Amino acid sequence: MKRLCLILLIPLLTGCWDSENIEELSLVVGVGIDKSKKDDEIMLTQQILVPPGNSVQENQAQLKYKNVTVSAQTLHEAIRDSLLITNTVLTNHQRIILINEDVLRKIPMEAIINQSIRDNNTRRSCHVYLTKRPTKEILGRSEDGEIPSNVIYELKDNEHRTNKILPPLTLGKASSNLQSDGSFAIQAVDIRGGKLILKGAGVINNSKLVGVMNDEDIAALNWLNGKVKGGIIEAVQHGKPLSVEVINRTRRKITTELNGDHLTINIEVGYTARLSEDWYGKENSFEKAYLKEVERIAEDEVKKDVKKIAYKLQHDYKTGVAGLYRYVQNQHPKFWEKNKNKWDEIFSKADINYEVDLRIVDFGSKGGIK
Amino acid sequence: MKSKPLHIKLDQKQEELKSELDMQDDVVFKQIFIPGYEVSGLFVFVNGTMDYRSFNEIVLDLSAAQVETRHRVSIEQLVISKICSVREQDVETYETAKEHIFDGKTLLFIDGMVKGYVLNLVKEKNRTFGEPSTERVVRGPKMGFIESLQENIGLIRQYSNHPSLIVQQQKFGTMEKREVALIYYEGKASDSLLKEVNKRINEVKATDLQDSGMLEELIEDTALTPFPQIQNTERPDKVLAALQEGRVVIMVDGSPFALMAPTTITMLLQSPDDYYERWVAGSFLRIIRYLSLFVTVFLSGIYISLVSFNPGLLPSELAMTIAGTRENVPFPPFVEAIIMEVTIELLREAGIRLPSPIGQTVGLVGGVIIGQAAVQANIVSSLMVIIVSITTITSFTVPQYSFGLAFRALRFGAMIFAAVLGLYGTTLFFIIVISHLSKLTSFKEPYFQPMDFIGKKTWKDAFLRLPKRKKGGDSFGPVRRQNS
Amino acid sequence: MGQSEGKILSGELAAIISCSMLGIGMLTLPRTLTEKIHSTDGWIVLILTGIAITLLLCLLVVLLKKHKVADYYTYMEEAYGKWLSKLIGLVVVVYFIGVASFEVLAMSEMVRFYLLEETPVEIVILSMILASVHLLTGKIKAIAKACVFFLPLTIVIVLLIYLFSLRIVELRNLQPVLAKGFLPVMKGMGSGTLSFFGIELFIFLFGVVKNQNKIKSGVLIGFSIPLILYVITYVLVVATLTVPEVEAVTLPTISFVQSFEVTGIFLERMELFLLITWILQFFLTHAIYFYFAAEGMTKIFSNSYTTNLIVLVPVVFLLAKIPKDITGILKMSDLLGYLFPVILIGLPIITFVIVQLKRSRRSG
Repeated sequence: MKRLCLILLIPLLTGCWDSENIEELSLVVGVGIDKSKKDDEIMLTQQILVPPGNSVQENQAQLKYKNVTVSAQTLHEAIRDSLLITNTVLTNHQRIILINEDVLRKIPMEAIINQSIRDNNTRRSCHVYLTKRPTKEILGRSEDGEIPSNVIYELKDNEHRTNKILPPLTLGKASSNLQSDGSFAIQAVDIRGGKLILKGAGVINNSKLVGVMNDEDIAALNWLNGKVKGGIIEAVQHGKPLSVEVINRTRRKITTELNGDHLTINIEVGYTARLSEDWYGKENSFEKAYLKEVERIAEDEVKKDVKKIAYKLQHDYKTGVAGLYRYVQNQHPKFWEKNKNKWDEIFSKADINYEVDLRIVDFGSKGGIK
Repeated sequence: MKSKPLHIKLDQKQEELKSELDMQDDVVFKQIFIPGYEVSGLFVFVNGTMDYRSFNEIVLDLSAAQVETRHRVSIEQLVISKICSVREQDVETYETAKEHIFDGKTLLFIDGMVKGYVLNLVKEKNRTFGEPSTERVVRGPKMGFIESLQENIGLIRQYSNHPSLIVQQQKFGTMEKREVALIYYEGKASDSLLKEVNKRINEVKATDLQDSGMLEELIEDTALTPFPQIQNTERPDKVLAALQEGRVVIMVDGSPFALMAPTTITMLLQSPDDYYERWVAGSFLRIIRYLSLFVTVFLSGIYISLVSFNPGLLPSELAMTIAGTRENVPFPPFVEAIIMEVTIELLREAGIRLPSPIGQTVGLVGGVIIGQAAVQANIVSSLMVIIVSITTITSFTVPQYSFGLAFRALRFGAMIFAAVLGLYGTTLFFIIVISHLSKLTSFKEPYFQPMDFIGKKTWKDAFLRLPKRKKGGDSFGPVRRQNS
Repeated sequence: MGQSEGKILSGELAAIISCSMLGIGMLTLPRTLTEKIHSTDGWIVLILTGIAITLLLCLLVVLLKKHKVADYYTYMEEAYGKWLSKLIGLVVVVYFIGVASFEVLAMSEMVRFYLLEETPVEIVILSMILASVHLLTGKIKAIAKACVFFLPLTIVIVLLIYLFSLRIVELRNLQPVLAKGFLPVMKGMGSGTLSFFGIELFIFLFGVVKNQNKIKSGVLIGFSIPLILYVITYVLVVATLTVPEVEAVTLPTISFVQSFEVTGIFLERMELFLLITWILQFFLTHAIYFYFAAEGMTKIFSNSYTTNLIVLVPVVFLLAKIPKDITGILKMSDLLGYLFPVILIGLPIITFVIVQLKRSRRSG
């Protein structure tokens, strides 16, 4: 037995093949993909963390990151080329992928994220964003030395407070979506006033960018598929604005009806809400009827928005971004099997009936009595 | 040597003994005269082994003896009656006389009588019973064994007065004769175990023992393991519990440590106060102990493999922090870890050897100053210091000192495996340790019994310590151990 | 009554069977199943297959008990005579060696891909084989204990990971149930046999169980633990990754665990734990098959067990080196997949019939 242990130890003595110390690696947190000036080349920007170090001059403001940009024909080639500039790249910590609109218009999305999905290091939980400006610019925009990738990554946590953000699109989800019906919306990042903001979204269909949406569209899209997790509904009553804050979803029911090849989609969502702001001087929120009135106004507002986005989806983008195909697939599997490839067409022609039921359960710590 | 019969004449005896014990300066000859009978006596003993107070009493008694006129007693009867309380046996040859003298006994010869009397006036040189120094408990008996076998057995008998408690004593050694006691409950300890224990003890009877630790090494199952296969303790309550469980206790004269066999890993990780405290606290502490065992062995290894092989598995912020602290450190994590771990082990060893006030100072100086200085000199990273400190602290939570030592040594194995094969190596080391434990036996009983953790009846006392709701005492019968 | 006696408890039997089943199967199962049926109904397939195998196991236990089989090799000798039984035994041993090599090969591939890219695969394979030899010198009792120790650990860790994953699981992806009817489900029944590798071993363990009355419950518990884990895994993985994606990734279970992070605790990446527990399971599966190969050789050639262990080290190692790429590995698993039902179903039933005939002729 002792001899056995010794035999076991012999191969161990020959060396540590994979040992690579953490401080000698480049930890990539964010990646941006742009179109290169040269044709059929893409430009890859990698955001690499720079360890703070125990430097003596701590007062010196030190940049916490550095960006490395290289151009190449494929993504992996570009990553390997970046090794000429910096330490071995480690993509395990990568949190975001930014993709420039121009790239998406030319190259299918599936091809762009292909390397990241195949790679054993890049995680499927990494988020994908769209940018209008060159990603290089966005990744270079830093305030107080904050790492831009982290700033963008953390913005998605506000999902519960506003409905103008799409639920985060992870690499894994993007890949699954591309494998399924290939149409989804992707959150966009922009710069406004020198700051990074989440603004607008892109609509992907069949791996191609087919359109862009603004913040209102995103909110409406979230309303449409019942993915609102919070946020405000602005409405006007008696000529004065008021806002209703969404608290929780109480119900969501999506049914699809088939009439020959004609599809009808019925969506019913229910939410509890709070009257959070009211400029109307004569509000009477202790009165049930008053709240009912507010509820009705807010509901109308939502319905109006949803109707607009539904129209846009059906006629401008001609694609079922909202993930409604899954309900058709579940409820009419045979029909779906047959018409899988015609889904966009069917969706464009479908009737969408949208019902929202808001229930104002409180009005904050103050309510008017008049 | 031939055994020469004793002379009758006292002078001759004295001369013979003196010539034989020529070299021995500490052998004392004291003459006494008994006036009533007009005979002299001779005490022979080794200086320092005897209790002078009881010696004086006997001397006074004898010299004050008067001839009773009415019921005349012979000198022999008189002497026997005076020394009956300490008389052990009689000797008739110089050979046995000598043996008894060096055994610490006092010999009394009376002029005109052939035989000599062996008096047991031995003064045992003992500590008083005190708190055991290696196994402290917060709550529970504060009594520990001492170096005297007879006192220790007396202590056990005091608490367990059942007649089926068997104490078998035998002499060990060739130069130093030592008593070794085998203690067990008849009917509870299984026959096969007793047979095995007796067999192993008889094989090594000729060895001179200084401590029970030497016996432990001679009778254990295999020497090729870092793990102790026999449990030792200074605590009578632990011994009593072991006896109740049907185990065998071996005690050696001159050693305050009792050996208990067979043993299992679970037993080594139990502290008696688990049972004296409330069960919630007991269970909690037990879980903590298992956890700390794992941390002791594997934390440094995991650190090495994460930092130099798979940094991708660390959370991003932590990876940044580690990279930052390691920025200026010239060594790979493995070297860094070895430096710190060896330093800590050295400090620990130095702290034990030094007198206790200095030992504490060394610990403090080592831990605080060296750690701080090493970080500032960029020899090790600050995180490494934290990790080494954690592994050091956790290694102290093992109740059994010798068992804790085994895990301290294993830690270096884990570090080497981690340095070569990363996370896979660490896992491999884990596998090897568990495989090794699975094969290990203690007196042919399984040493590591994971079945206990999930067994129907045993799980309550293996990983946790859940309350026992049993009314009345244990039934008296052979203890059935799971899977034995 | 000690370690050396080599009898195992029924609980240990269950642990051995579970551990020999949990191996490469768990990591590839979602893909192999969905590849066959192209729908989300794999879990129904799993449950139905499970029920079928359970019934089969009950039957086999009854058959083996009826003939009071203590040692399968002597039992085969009774059926086929000395030389033929040795030949069949040899085939069985070759199968065992094959599975042992396959498992260690699959593990080395996983380690190479996720943990050690540069390290020579030979080192990984060899170290694993030697580690299992280290365990195997302790014979079945040591294996049983290692299984009993590692199995709860695996279950707890895997379930914990799954618990954390619930946040990203969308059960909606599992619908529609039975969209394509029952036919594809029936067709899929045969697939995923790789995941049930290991259950056949109980035939060879029959004699060493201490309490013969509890064999059936031991076998069934041992079988149901992996089955339940399989169903949970399949449901979660497919619900998260969706059918087309599951078909596209190599090791869907690991991809699934990679799709989420747990923020707030010390380690946010869960695949670390999955990889570690799976190395443990690969090791156990490998060691168990290795043991049966060595044990079988001891029975056939009646030589020393230790010699066989040492002889098998280079055999297993070289066999694991034969497949050069992924397709080679898949071919190897297919080949073993053909032998599996023969050893699980064919061999015991035929042997039973022959022995039954022989015994009745003798008595009648």
